[in-house]
Amino acid sequence: MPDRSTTALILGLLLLLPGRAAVAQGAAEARARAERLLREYRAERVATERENLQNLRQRQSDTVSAGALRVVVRQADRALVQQATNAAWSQIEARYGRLSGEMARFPILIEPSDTTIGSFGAQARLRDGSITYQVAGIGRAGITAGLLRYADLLLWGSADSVLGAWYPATPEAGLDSSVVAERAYLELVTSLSVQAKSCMIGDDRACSEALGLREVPDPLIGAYDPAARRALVAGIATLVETWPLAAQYSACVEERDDAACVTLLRTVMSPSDSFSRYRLPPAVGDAARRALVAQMERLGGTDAWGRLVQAAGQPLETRFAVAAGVPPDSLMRVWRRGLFAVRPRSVEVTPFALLMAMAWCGLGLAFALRFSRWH
Amino acid sequence: MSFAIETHGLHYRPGRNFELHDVSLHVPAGAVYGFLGPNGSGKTTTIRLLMGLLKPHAGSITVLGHAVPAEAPRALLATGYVPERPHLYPTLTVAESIRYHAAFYPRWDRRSGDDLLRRFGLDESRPLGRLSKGEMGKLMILLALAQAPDLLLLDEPTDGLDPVVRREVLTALLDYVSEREATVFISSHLVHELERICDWVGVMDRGRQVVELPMQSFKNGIKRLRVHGAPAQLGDTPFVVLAREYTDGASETWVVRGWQAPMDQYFGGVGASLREVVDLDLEEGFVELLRTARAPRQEA
Amino acid sequence: MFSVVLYTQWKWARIPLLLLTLAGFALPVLSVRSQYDPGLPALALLERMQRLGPLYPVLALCVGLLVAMIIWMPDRAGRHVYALSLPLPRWKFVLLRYGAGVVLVLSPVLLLGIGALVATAVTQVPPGIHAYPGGITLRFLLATLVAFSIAFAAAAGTSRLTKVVIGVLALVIALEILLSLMGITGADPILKLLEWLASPTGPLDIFAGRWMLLDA
Repeated sequence: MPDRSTTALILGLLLLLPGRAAVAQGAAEARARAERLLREYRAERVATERENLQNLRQRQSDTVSAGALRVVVRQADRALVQQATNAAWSQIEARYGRLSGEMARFPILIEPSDTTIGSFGAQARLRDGSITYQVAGIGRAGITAGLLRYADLLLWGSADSVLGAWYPATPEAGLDSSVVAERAYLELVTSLSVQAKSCMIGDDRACSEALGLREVPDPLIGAYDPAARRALVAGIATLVETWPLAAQYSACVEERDDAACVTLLRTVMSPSDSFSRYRLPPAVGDAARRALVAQMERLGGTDAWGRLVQAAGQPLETRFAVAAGVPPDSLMRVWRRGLFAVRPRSVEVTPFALLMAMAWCGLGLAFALRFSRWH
Repeated sequence: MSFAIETHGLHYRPGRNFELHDVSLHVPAGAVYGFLGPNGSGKTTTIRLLMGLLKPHAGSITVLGHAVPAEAPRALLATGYVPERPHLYPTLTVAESIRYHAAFYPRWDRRSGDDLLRRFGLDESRPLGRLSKGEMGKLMILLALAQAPDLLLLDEPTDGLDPVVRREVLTALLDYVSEREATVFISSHLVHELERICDWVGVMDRGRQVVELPMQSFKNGIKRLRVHGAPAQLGDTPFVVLAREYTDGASETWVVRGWQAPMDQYFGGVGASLREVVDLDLEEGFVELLRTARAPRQEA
Repeated sequence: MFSVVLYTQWKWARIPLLLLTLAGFALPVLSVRSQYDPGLPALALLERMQRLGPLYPVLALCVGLLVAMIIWMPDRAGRHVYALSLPLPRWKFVLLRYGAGVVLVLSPVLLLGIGALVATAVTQVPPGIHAYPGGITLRFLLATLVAFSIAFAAAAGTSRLTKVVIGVLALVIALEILLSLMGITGADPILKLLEWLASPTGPLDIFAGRWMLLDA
């Protein structure tokens, strides 16, 4: 249907048409003619809409499903997406158990994003109503990974608010586990927190505190030493340097006055109209927490998630231990070992690498002596 | 007689189109040995074999008493080499090249090197890439002589040089030989150039050794004879008939090797008469030699 | 003898070598100075440092390849006649060339080490992060030597050796195509070859991994 402005435009044009004929026929005739033209215009629009609808049907979009997972897809890609959906669903169900039924509320649209390389994109409406789009990847495995990422986004934390606050799921949640573990290792070793450092040298309780499974009373004092507090203040230099806090900043960073550091940090951590409230950074970041979830799932098997959800109301440390089926300190130990096992290769050369490099040098020289005119 | 260079049954085949076959050289110590042959006859390949740059497929090589290529480094210590084409590093200056070269030769004669540098008028600071052909030729001779070698292997050392430079180079070479009594093995296709300086001559053609003999024998032994009334079948001759050309009905021109004056009696014995004996110079003899080597002999 | 060989090689390679030596010094200094920010959390600094990490193995590769190619270039141009006519065993000449080449590649390595020391000395390394000037210099040295040695062998090699190497590579590619045409999946010889090259026993292993002057 034409909108009002279009009708007005047509009428206006007709009324403004110059020429003796229109003037002679009078206003009534002119109106009749305008109405006729309007009818023709409407008929044309209806035909166009019908054509569009027909085109839409020809696209033959369809919905494939596996369990509660619904995926809207072009019919041409149906077979491929069905396989990926099946694979994704088995993993989602194994991980989230009953909660995975929630997926039925969030249909995901999969469509080709780049036909030359065969990659797909995925689109979904999240719980907050926002629509997100991301490249799912290439081929079946890529689509499966994309669906798993959405499952994490949609289901994680929906069981209870404590879990959701502990680890707000992001699209990065679906990263390859070795990448996550490597990043988690770096988070641990670069952390300013006293707990993280103690965890590194084998203190399981400190690991639990660093991960946020146990609370640290007054973390500003309990989780950071003076050097770390100074580093924290240095990290917010742009926030405080030009403010009335500049003097305290100078005392903290330049004169190394820990009391000034504490005062400054407490000031910026308290609610204020002058600046946005500063929050102490967690001892370790999301990757370390994601690595803990991975260990929990590995140790606890397919029911791990269910046990984690069922144990709602208990302290987080207990919930993860119950889910993993091992005591809390064992879980921490396994988690720490896991991170150390995949820690990024240091720039330091191992004796084996040194030996191999020397061997390749020797081999190069031997080749030069043997397989050239120089033998 | 001791030999500075001795090869036996040398065989080398670098590719399909060329083969060095059965080369047996005997270069007396202290001689100036001219190694003659047209372009592509195998002179450079033979010299590279003597230097140990190539490995023969068959045969043996002894240079200054050392088996080559097994003991080539020892032989090369006392061998000065001037290759056909400049082989030095073009980015180095003259002085740097001399310093580089000298480092490898314990017998390097610094005074001789300095003398030759002055004599040849070479600019020490000039990069080799900017030397003229003549200057490069002089430098290569300088390097070969200043290392005080017992043997000089010279592969067409004057090829492409102007007459003045050629004379300078050859004079320096002869001065060195007369002073040190060194052996010189010099290859060239410029026959007349070698005629004046060589004691011995070896001729190559198409990868084969045609002849090896003292220069005197080579020059004197090859004659052109004008013969009248010779029979079609010659039978045994006391000389080698290299070529036989019919000039008119009864007269013929022969090119012979191994000619000596009393041999004219032979013609009376076969009912012919010798009208004229003409001495051939080295170049003419060389040309006739190659012609007979390539064509089937017209011997009786 | 060694000194003249070293001098000639230096003369041939001096311009690219000087540039590479400067790059060797500049790389650690600039990589730290351009990425360092006193207020930056340690992890963010590591991520920044990691971005410039690949420049170290690339530089090592350039130094090794260039020096190896350049020091054989005049011999190749003269078809090795001069070098072969010198009165010393061939293996000894190869060792002289190799030894002098190693000395030449040491100059960028040395300057990289100095650059790494300077960079770490003038930077206040955040808690949790360590500086590895020695480690990165040793790794750079080994990577440079491996690149130099392999390129040295290739540059000294005969055309027959080049043909053999090209032939083997062509064979691997042909095998890959053949397997794919036959529908056999999983074999993937090219991938396997690359995996082996970068494996702990392969020649590229020393180039792989993290090249971080500042690391956890």
